[in-house]
Amino acid sequence: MRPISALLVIGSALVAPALSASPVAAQSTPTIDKILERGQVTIGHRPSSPPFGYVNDKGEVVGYTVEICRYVVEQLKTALNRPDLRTAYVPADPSNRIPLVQNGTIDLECATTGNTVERQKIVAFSYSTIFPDARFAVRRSSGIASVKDLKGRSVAVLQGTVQQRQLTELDRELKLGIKPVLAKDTAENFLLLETGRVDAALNDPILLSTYIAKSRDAADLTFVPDWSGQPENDAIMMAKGDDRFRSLVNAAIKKMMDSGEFTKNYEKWLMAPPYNLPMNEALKKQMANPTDDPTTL
Amino acid sequence: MASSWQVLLAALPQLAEGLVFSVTLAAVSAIAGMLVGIPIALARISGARALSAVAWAYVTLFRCVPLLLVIFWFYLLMPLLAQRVIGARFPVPIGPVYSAFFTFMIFEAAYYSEIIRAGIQSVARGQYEAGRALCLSSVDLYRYVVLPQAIRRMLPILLTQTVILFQDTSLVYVLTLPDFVGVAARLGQREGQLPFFYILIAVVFFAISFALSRAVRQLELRGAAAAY
Repeated sequence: MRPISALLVIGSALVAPALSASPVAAQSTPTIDKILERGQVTIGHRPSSPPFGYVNDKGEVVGYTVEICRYVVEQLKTALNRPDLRTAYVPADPSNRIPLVQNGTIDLECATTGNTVERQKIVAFSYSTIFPDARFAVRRSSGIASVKDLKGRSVAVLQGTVQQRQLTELDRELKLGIKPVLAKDTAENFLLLETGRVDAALNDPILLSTYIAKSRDAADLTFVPDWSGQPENDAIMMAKGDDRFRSLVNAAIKKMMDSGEFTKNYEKWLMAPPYNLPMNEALKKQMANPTDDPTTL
Repeated sequence: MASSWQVLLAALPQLAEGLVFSVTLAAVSAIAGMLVGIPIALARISGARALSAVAWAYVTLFRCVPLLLVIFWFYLLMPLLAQRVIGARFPVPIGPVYSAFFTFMIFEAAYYSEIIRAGIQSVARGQYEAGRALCLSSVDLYRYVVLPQAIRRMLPILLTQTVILFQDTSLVYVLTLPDFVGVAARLGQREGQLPFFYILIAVVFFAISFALSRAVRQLELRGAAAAY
């Protein structure tokens, strides 16, 4: 376990009892009350995770999920009859995002956080906003053209993610003898492939495409065509215990989907180069009939 | 593909802001840490048992836990503690910036107080006795005899500790703050050019820390010369 994860676990263990013992627990809509009292909605964002969320050269917070959250905040203003609500931005990353939602610093965590059964025990999730399915990035020159060619090869994978579990299962199923190499973020995951330390990198293909496009070896990098992982249900994360707030957020997302704004936002970020990625089946289904189901594994 | 230098050029304002943040964090927590450290040092060497025990406990606690842990816990738990203390209805949000400054100040105060204590105690007993023999009051004794010698001895170590503090500011990355390391690493991640930006961080930190330690060395030499 990385030191940060260890801190996180210890931190959460301390935060959880403090939260349940606080007077807020007695309120039925603690998040809404807090937002109304402060006159502010706080968005938690990832500063370096394009195209989902990043800080551009002008210092502005932008990205696919950030734009969805901005739309949600606009809808909240109407629903709560408070056009004066301000939006604040707090940077967060996978090691601190859950405690920051728990301790009330962040109202809406807008990135690519997987909705899982384990996480639902401590936080709440909105309707899913994207369904990335993991893919293997490889070098064309390595001769890996099929998932079977990964036999005995080394693969970089993000530690503690859904993809890590998928890799283990795939390895067991096809008896490939894959040597996993753990990375702590997408940049490192890709760097391992780019510098030749591993033969393949398993990750969200959208994030990987960002790095491939910027690599000096872009022409030599591609995805293994015959395999993709089970889609992960990524959603906006919120504090647990305010169902009215969650339903307002969900209503806003539904309205965004029905009005065509959601598709427009998708096209703006993901149909543009270097992604040129049409919506996958999971997201199309979600548009027609939104759910907040956790990732199935 | 944009070259590393083009990315660097476009990001210069952000990097400059990051560097200003890191330097400010180091400078403010050094000054505040010394100011808080003085009373702690005096409490430790005071005759009052209870006072001395409290100061000892403070210093021992902070010198025995990792700074990373203190930064992380303080940021995550303070809103809840503050809520309890002032009886607010909601957790009191303490921004990452205030949180970082406060954590560094209380943490560094423990280190500075030990340097200050050692400096004061390094002044030979005979100096105190000589002062008393001249009928100096306690205040005058410290002002004219003890502190000038103590400060000369502890200044290089205080400054060395400040250089270490400057390097430690990079730990605020756990708060995802825009300090120099945070901004540079973030750009490296965004642009897929981690090695370039990690080298840049190393070069900048080396240049600043090396210049500072040369300055401390000069001061030490001067202090040593003045002592004779």
